[in-house]
Amino acid sequence: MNNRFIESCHFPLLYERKPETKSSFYQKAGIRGILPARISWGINSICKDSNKLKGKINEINAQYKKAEEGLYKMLNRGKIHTSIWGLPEFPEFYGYGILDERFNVYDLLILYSGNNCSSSIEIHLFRGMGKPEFLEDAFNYCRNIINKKPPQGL
Amino acid sequence: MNLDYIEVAKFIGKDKLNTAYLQRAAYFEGAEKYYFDRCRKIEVWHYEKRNQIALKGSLPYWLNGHNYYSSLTDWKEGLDYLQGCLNVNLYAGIVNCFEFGTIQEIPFLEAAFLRNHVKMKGMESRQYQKGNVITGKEFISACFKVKLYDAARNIKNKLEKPIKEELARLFGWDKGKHYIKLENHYMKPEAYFKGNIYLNELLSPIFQNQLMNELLSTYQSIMKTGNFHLPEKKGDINAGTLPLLILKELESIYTFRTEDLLKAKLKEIPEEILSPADRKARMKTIKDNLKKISNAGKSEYDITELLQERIQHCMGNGADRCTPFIWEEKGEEILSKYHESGT
Repeated sequence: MNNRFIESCHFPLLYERKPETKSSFYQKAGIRGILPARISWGINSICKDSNKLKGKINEINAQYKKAEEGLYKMLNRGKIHTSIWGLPEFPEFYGYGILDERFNVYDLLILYSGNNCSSSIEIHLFRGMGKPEFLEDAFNYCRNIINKKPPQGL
Repeated sequence: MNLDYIEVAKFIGKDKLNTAYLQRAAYFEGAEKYYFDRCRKIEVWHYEKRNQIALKGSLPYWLNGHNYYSSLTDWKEGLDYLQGCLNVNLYAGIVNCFEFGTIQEIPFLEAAFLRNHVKMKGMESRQYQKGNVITGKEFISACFKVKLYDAARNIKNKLEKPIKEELARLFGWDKGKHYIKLENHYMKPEAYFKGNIYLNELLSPIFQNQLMNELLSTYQSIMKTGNFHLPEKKGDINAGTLPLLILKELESIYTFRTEDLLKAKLKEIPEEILSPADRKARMKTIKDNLKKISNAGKSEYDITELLQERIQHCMGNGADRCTPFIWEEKGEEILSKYHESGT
């Protein structure tokens, strides 16, 4: 896929952790009204060990506020959930998630952080690219962006 | 050589169209129109009663932001993405209309090229002008259309600067050179090919080869002028030679003989105005002028050779690598021949 097409699917968002909280991240840059302004970072649910969950490294959970507009607000009564998986071929990225296969939406989230997601996360959202055949193209596109500019300059 | 605008229809059966990626544009009775916006927009129509969707637009523009060139791989990737988003198997859709064409560098001005492509047998001709300059020509029948237009002008006026830079970098586009676009529009493919055409068929290499050959043969069947050469000496080009040259060029298209027409016209003039001796003298001058015009056999604006070279290159490398490069292949040689001969 060519870069211009990928660029047209791409929405970069920057979230920063709210001081004095453990896992509350708030949107600081990027287009508003895509993901909720606040996301929760971390695995909160207790799951049984299974092969399926090997490779899962984290989770994003969030909920749109009543007055808040958002791309996924109609999908699951405003609730957002995605697991984050690692991809060893692209070690500079924290991982990726897909929003939200349960509702026939295949939007890819690629996560990058210069601080291992302790204080900020860049979420690179690619609309419709959450399928195995587009994963590499999207990661390569992100890699080019990351290599060209300082990581948090959205 | 590549596909461009297309209309594909697909019955969706029990499946549900996924509208999460679409912007609703309008509602008509029984039909909803959506846009799918990427580099450019394409239209997605949903006919609820018929349980059918239709896709309309130029995939190359949607994918790349231009239609200068798009490979079959581009098409496949784009369609994979599209059908993933829409939740519809588009490859099994019926093609209701499509365009297949190419952008070709030419060694003469676009307007001169277009002016010298005159007519196609059994087809209605239309001409597009901007002021006095010809910018395009169409030859139309009930289910088929051949279109020629000034591609250089389109690129200069329609595309944004970064895209033009990309065309120059990837395909060697040069704003100082001349380009035309030649397209076959299949407006009713089911009638033209005597049966429904499915998208997977259309994208098959065999069908692509067929379309390439057809593009060449339709180009060859366009009647061209420019097969008579002007005298080389300035002294031989007088005011009488030029109209004769034009008449000679039109002979093959409108099936008449210039000499016969002129003779008949002279005979119509009453003897009180032109005596037989006067007529004879004028006819002699006309014949002398006609001798100064030479027939080259083929129009100097005929680009068959360039197209043939392109097709051979495409078929040799597989349609997927059929880029509009001409400087690295024989096309460059052919173009330089034109430049050497001073046309």
